[in-house]
Amino acid sequence: MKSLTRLGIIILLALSCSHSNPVDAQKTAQISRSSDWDLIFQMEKEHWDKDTVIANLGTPSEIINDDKTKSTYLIYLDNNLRRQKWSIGFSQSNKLSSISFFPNLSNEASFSVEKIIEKWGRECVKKSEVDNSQHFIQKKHYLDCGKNRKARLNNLDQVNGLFIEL
Amino acid sequence: MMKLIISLSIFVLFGKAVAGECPAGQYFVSAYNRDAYYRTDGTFVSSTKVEAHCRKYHFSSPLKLIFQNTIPDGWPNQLELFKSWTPAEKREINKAINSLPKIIRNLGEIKIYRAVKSSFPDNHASSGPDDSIIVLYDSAKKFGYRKALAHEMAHILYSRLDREGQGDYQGASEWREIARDVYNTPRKEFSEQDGAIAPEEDFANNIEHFITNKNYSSVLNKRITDYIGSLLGMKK
Repeated sequence: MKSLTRLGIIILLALSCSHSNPVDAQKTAQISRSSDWDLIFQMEKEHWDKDTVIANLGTPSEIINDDKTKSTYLIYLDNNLRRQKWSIGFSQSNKLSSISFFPNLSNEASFSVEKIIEKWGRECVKKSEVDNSQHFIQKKHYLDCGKNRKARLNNLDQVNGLFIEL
Repeated sequence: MMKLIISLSIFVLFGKAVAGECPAGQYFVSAYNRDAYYRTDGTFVSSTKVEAHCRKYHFSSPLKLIFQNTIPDGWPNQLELFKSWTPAEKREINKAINSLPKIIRNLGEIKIYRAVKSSFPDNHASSGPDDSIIVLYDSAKKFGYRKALAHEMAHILYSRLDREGQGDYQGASEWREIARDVYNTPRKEFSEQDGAIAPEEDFANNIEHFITNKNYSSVLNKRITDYIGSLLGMKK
């Protein structure tokens, strides 16, 4: 009986040690699922090819071959909100040419103006462009963070796109 | 049966958002999972499920038309000749505006200008949505003030939509942004030819046709029609 009790205590101790920090484990699990920034940085740094993009993001929702840009784009929709989340562009020679990421309600806290400056560096400068190529005049606002990284802002100062040209 | 009736009544009374059904001035937001994140001060915020709900549009103030007689400050089309409004024109413009859906009449102060001819061929009206500016040319009268205003006010409306509002339209109308400000759509049919250029023009054309074209269903697909009907509060 005593040995069984000891065994039970040992087992309980072993279990409690393996779950010694349930709150941190939960945080890690939640954050690891939200690794959009990690993906952006890795893709840019490692110049992923199409296979690597698909291995990490899954099968694209659409593949677009664009005549204007002479490039192929892998399009991914957000599973939850069914809006566009990624566009990953490849040149005719199959090299990574652009990364476009579109924040949404699920992840907007990680893609605020402050977060972008934190992640992409203090050199981010707010700029505006005027497009009068059509009969309506458009003003486009964005954060120019250097290294061909730009974050576009809408009229409500919401970040509605991150763009990297390689 | 009685339990079912009571449950449904409670559901209705507590006003839970039903897919696509929101009061005027609000739009439907589907349920979604908000990801976990760290605030800039290092505080951890857990992921959470946000229930479907209705959200108010950011803009909503009564329309105030301000008739202007000289070229707008910073207007890029410097060769355009501007002129004064006549009292009869002002009356016709007010009449046309007042016939448009409420959401368009809730876009606040709009400066409206009068010019002779557009720098763009066959163009009856121009706008600077971000500055709440509309310009009507001589040809706008024959084209129809109501159509011209529906179109240009739609440009202003689009510019006022938040990220989700514009995203909803782009989803419904199958626009994809493949690179910064470069758009692509698999659609082959558009209410106007220039709608194939980008979602903003497509949006304005579709709003114009939805409001003013009795045969709009021949040029708008169901998803776009449903989206616009919901946006304008005009179920058809």
